[in-house]
Amino acid sequence: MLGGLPGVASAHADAAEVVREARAAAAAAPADANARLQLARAFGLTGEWASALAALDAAAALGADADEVGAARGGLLSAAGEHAPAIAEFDRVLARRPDLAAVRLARGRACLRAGDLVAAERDLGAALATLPQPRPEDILLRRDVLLALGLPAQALAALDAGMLRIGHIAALQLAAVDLDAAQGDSDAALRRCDDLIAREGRNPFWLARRADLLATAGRTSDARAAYADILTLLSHRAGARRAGPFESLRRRISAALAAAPLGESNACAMQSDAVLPP
Amino acid sequence: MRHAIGRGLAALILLLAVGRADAAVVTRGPYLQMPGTTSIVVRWRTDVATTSQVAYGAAPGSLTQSVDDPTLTTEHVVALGGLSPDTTYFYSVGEIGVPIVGDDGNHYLRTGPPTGTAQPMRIWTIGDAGYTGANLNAVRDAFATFNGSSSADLLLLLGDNGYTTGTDAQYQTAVFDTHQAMLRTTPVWSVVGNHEAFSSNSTTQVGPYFDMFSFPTAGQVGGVASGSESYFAFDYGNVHFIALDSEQAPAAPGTAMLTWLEADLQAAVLQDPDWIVALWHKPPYSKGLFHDSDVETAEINMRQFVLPVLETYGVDLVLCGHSHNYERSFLLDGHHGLSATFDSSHQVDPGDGDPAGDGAYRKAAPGPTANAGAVYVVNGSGSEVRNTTLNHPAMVRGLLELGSVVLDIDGATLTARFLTSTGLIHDSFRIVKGTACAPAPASGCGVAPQGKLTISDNADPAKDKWLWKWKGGTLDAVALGDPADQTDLAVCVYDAGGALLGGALPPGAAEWTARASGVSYLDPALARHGLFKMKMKYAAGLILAKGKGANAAVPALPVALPLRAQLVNLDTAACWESVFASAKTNTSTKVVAKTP
Repeated sequence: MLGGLPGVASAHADAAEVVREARAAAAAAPADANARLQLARAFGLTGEWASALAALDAAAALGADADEVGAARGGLLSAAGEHAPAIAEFDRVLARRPDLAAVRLARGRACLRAGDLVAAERDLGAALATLPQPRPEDILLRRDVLLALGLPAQALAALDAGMLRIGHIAALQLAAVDLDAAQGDSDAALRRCDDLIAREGRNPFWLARRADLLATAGRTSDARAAYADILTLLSHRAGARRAGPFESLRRRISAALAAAPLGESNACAMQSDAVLPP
Repeated sequence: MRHAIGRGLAALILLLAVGRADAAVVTRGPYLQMPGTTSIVVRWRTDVATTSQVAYGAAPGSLTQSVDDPTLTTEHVVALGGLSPDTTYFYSVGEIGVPIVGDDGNHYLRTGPPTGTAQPMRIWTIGDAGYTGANLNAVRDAFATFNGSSSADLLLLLGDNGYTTGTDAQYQTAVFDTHQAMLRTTPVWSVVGNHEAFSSNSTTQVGPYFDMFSFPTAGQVGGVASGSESYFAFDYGNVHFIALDSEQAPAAPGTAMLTWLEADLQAAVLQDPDWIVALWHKPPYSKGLFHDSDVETAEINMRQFVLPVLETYGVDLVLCGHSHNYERSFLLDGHHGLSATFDSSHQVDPGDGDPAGDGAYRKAAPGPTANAGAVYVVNGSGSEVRNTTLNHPAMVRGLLELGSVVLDIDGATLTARFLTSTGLIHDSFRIVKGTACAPAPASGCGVAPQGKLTISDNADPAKDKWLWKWKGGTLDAVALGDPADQTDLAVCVYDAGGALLGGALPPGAAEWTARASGVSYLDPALARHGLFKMKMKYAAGLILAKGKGANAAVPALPVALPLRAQLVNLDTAACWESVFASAKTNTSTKVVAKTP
């Protein structure tokens, strides 16, 4: 598998079992390059870096695919904390095979660990654009890198690009709402809330987020109506009345509506239980 | 593409186009995935690339419909849609127009019941079942014997399904060959284990595990879209299932999995399923050999970060594997620390939950309720047992035995059994929801000037009966709610010693009728607490409840005064009651009390 180690497990007892099996398989087939690759990965699970790298050298000597060996070596070095050599290894592989998105993702992560945010973002962006099924975690990671670089607009664009790949899932759309709101673009944030609600249903917390945004935009009467709608929704849902977070939401909205008219300088709440701004 | 006719012609055309007339051989499956109320995915593998066709119909020999895919492949993935809920279809798989296997009594699938429907279901769960051989076969055969001729509704694999590295070949023997007969009729779900993670990478969602299974990333069968095949949700009947990744998905507040989990639970709670069941691989509580939940990072993270979310939205049951043994907890809430910090305050119920022991765990409300407790099961002895001392204080049971867990869900009752490889039940627990009166009467209830309560205890329990009448008080429609929709009501009778009669009634049940003038309940079957009839009329200020028969569970008389009869809206705590400080009759066979 190109792209380095498929996850370093913490269960060393299990990993030791894998090493035993891999040793046996390699011993039984001394000319099998693939068996050496598996042995290298197994050593990686137990953190036996020198043995792992030696097994990779043996695999290469037996004719294993150079890119696969290089990617695995990069993964081992990265896992061992040797970021610069890992990046160099990934560089060599990608110079030959720029299409290997998993290797590019691995290099991006290595660059991130090495503190090179610009290079990390470049690789993450390219990898996420071409991986068959990028995962939400890595899309959020790219957002974080862009925010760390002081590029919120690009971070927002990265979330949108991710959603085009894997769908407008809540974890990404809510992150985008936060970014839009943080940049003062309440209209865009409102559109995202509406989109999320249309796709996934009338989640009262999302409706509350939307109401917050209306308040922020100075649409006080709309906000009050939106909050009132949430109370109606909650009162008609038996399950909501038995779940603590919903009850907290209801109390906060009720108290705020009863206390005073909404202000016009409200920031979007970042926590799901913070409905009305101070 | 769906065709009702013309399949033979299509086959001929394709055979000519492909230029091959020899039949392919099915080398894996068929197996069923993502069962929905109107859809299901059928998968199989062939030795050579072919087109794909699933033909299906109401009976073998009458497969009148089909779904085709002309793409040549050895990994066949065919989604059937437009099916009827809760319906059995027989099927065959093969090339277009050339069935290879099926069209017989051994190949059938059943669509899920309508979401929210309380239909009895049996689920077989097996963990760490990746070692092929006599142990695994014995566990499998014990279930087959226990289950009899019917098919389980679902198969849940709790990870580490193919040892030691979850390769395609290991899966072939440990899963697809071992369970071949079951897989062609029972849909299979799985969570990723640490041994799957040796060969499959959820970072890129590639590898044999992700290649061989179809999981919903977009909420195709219920739940909120996760965007990931390593964690997702699905509905089946009255159960909402949540599958999590304890291996490669970060589990901390603000991560994608936790953000999705909270959104999914919020949506689920609004739907108000009877049950929420979560499953993942590494258990939050375990003292398994090599897998101590005080030590392993993933187990600690799941306990610290995931459990609080699950608890606050009312999860009922958590199924895990990883430790090669069986462990089962009390009904727990709020224990997120190391095992040494566990104490009785974390036990929602200190009993064993065994119907034949301390009695079932009971939850007052019928749906998800915050912090009402969950049972945690470590079900990891599907193919190997590792000897150790199982002494986690959260656990009721710890067994070093091969086996699996059989889960039966029937309406408001969930029963789980640990079935050993020799066919014995060595642990059993039950959770009953929405049927229990609160231990103590509610306070602040509305009263009426007239009240009457009678209880009759006969030698023949079938002739037992009771009646409560509350008349002339204020009964407000808004406060009462609408039990024909979603309001949870309970009618309960108490004496000085506690609850005597009655219980909660499921909202939305067919027995309820709501009109502008009031609400009524009629159940000649006496299925719930022996309750036969209820009437609530707003204008007359009337509450009438009648129960009878053995299900009424009339207690031994006489009673300890005072008596209280109450109707409680469990959602809002609004209530109405009659209090009887004295009784005209209070004997071993009859109680009669009236106000004034």
